[in-house]
Amino acid sequence: MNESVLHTRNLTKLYAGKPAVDNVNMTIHKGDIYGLIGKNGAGKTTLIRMITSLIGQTGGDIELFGENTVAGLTRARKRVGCVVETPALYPGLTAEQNLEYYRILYGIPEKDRIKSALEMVGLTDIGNKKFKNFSLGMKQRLGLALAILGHPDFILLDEPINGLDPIGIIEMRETIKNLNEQYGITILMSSHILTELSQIATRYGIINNGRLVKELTNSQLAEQSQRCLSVTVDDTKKAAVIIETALNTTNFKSVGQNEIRIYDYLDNPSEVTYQLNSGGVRVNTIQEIGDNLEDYFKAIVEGGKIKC
Amino acid sequence: MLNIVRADLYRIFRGKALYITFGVLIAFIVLQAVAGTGTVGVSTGSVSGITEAEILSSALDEMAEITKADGMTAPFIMAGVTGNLVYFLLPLIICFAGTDFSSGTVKNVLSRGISRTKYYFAKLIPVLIFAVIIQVLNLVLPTIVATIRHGFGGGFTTDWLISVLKVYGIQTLLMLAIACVGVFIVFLTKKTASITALFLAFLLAPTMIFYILGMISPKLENLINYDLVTNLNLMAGFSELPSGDIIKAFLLCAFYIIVGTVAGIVVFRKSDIK
Repeated sequence: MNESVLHTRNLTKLYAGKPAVDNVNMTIHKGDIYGLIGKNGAGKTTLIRMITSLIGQTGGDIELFGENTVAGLTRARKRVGCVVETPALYPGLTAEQNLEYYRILYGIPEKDRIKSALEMVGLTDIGNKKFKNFSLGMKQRLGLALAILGHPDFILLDEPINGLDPIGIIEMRETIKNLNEQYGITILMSSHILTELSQIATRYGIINNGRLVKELTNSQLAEQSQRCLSVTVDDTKKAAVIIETALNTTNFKSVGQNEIRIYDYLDNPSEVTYQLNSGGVRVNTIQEIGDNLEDYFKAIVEGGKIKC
Repeated sequence: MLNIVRADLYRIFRGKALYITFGVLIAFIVLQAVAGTGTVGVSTGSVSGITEAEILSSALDEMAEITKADGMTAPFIMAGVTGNLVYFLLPLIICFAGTDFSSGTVKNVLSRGISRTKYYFAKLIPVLIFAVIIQVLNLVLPTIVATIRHGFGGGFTTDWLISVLKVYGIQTLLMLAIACVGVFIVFLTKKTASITALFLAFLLAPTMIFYILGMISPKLENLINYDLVTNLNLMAGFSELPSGDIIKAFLLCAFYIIVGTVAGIVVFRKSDIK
């Protein structure tokens, strides 16, 4: 079983009696790139703020690196780096000075950590430009540099690609992947840009109206969202034999009493209908179905049906 | 905590705010010392029955005395302007504590598991240190200026030193109490405009409010005894004050320092960081 980096139990935050985060039970394992998906106002930032102790929870528990006491969490948070919403640094200082400030503050003795953090995010050739004159992309990258300055084991990134241009998004994605793959850093990344998240996340948590409505791995998502032919027939057993023999594929599965999902022949559904009819199976409906992450998310939060 | 203080000093010495504040402060003190326009404490006697001409004549005599002040008398005269120096605490409070909230950098510290109490003290302590520095400058600079202009004014005596330390000691305590309230305001409001407005109101409003209340009922005017700035000015005439007033000022300082700090920590520990 994977080592748990973060585990929340019934984590709740109420604002004026209304839940912004509602009984969230979330688990992030070591090595995960956990994509926290939700609409604006779904509770992503509130959840991250509670984990990072910027706001207190109304109820529930947080367990970080196995610690759940006040003193233990304080210790555990020293192993965490984060960028919550827009990176906040001192506007009058340069990138290097900002990182030097935090190097002193975090009590990091090695001065070369600044250089390596800036190298990792590609901010080495910016001279003495002050933070206030940075583009949004540079600010996001410096925020990430700050998050990794203390060599954390776990990084929380709240909407890290917000406002980035396409090149910036690609660079940020590569940096995050690199941190995870090369340095083994566990990452929690919230976003509402699902196409981007789907390219790097290994696990997902879908949050809606403060509730974590679904947690799933990348492979579960792929399985859930794989495109297929959904065929409703009068006899699934007989249909299964025909599919194996006449269509020569085992890449299918029975779902319920009358449905079979075939993951081949997506480009030739008429052949499927023909063979089944020829074998004496009545085909009631046949349609191509399946979701990408966006469709899946939409179906979950809008209460729609997940087709595959 | 020490790391936060060290980091803040690194940051502040790279900015302009501290240099500008202390540049203006030093210019202000030196100008006061050279021009001799400082007011000598507060009048403890009644002015009723004195004509305007007599008041003017007395003030002119006083001015003449101040402009001739030597190194020994300058500190006592300059103690009278300490009430004006409290305004220099505002940029320091904003530099050390307020900036973290306006720039949002406070979240970079708290999210790393640094306790809010430690953070509070890490912001308070440098402000208190700089408040003491302001007082030291207010003591040393005029003494040097007056000594250069009119000599030291006799031999250095222990009695003189004790008198100076007494006046500046109690005034420094009052400055520290004001600084504690200022830092409390930062953690309460977290917005630069609100910090400025509330801190200035704290310095200016009580005198006006209690004066107006005094017009309604003379008893209410006694509330002014609990105002820090009024006490700061009052303590300039320390040697002439009854010991009861001095003890009252001490207790007042202790009250504001303890209540201001405890309230600040409680408020900060319960507050959400946006």
